[in-house]
Amino acid sequence: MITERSEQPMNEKLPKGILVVDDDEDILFTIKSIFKKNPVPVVTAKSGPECLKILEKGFRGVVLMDIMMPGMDGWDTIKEIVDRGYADDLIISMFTAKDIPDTKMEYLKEYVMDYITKPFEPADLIDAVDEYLDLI
Amino acid sequence: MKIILIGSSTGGPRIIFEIFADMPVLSSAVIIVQHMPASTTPRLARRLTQLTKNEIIIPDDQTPIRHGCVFLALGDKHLTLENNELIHLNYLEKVNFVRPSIDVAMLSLYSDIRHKYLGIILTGMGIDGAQGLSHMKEIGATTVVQDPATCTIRSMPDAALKTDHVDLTLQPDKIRELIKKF
Repeated sequence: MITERSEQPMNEKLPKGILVVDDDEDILFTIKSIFKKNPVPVVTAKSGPECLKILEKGFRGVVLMDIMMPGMDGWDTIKEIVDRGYADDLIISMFTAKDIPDTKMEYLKEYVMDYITKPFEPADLIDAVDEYLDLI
Repeated sequence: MKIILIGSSTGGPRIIFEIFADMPVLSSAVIIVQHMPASTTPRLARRLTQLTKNEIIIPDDQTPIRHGCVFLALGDKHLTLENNELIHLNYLEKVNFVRPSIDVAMLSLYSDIRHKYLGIILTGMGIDGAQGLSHMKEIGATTVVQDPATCTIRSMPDAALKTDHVDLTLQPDKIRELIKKF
């Protein structure tokens, strides 16, 4: 099922950004701080549903998605992103304290570009995100 | 012809970029099977074009392979080689939960005295590529996996190593050197 997104004229794509999805507000704050000097805007969401609302408005860019969130977890959110047709404008990286991905990922792995384990080095995160922003 | 087939999944693009950064024009044909949706393939191709002088091609069905080119399997289609030289694409069922599947690509090759093969498995989850790389070894290829310790996710190289058909376990910079010298 493809969900209709907000109308956006073809020649007026929204500027790309970084969307961080994590229920841990400390992580959201930390990542916003890491990218403070980056000209690319950083948007945050504390849950899967909040993430989907942002994507519905036409966000495009890199999504750093936490796996372990209450209610709709990272995998459920990615499945919704794919089902609603939002994935084409995104590069998704999973962001997790689990160093071994669980089997839920098997069905969605082609949509996940990278897998970043917490705690991470800020410089590594910046390098990874910059690399992926260049792809969009 | 020298044919290099690289299979890659989660974490793969960054390693591919590292390998191909400033890569001179190769005397091999390179085929990359990266697990990704179709929308990502042109992006990967564009980035690779910026990095290397090898021609980057997203092949159509019935594209012949040639040296000095990197053929990037289109997301959501399996890639096979007919007669070890002609690319075919298909929408058959996913294999190992993915399409394109590395196994599907590698298993389409056969022993051929005209060709020399190098098979490489990079980072990724699952087992895709293990069977394919084992097959490549059986048809005379040199087989390589990315050192699991350097992988974002090590499952694919680990699965390949369990087949006992891997010649070399290398870090990305050494994979790059091997490709250059192949």
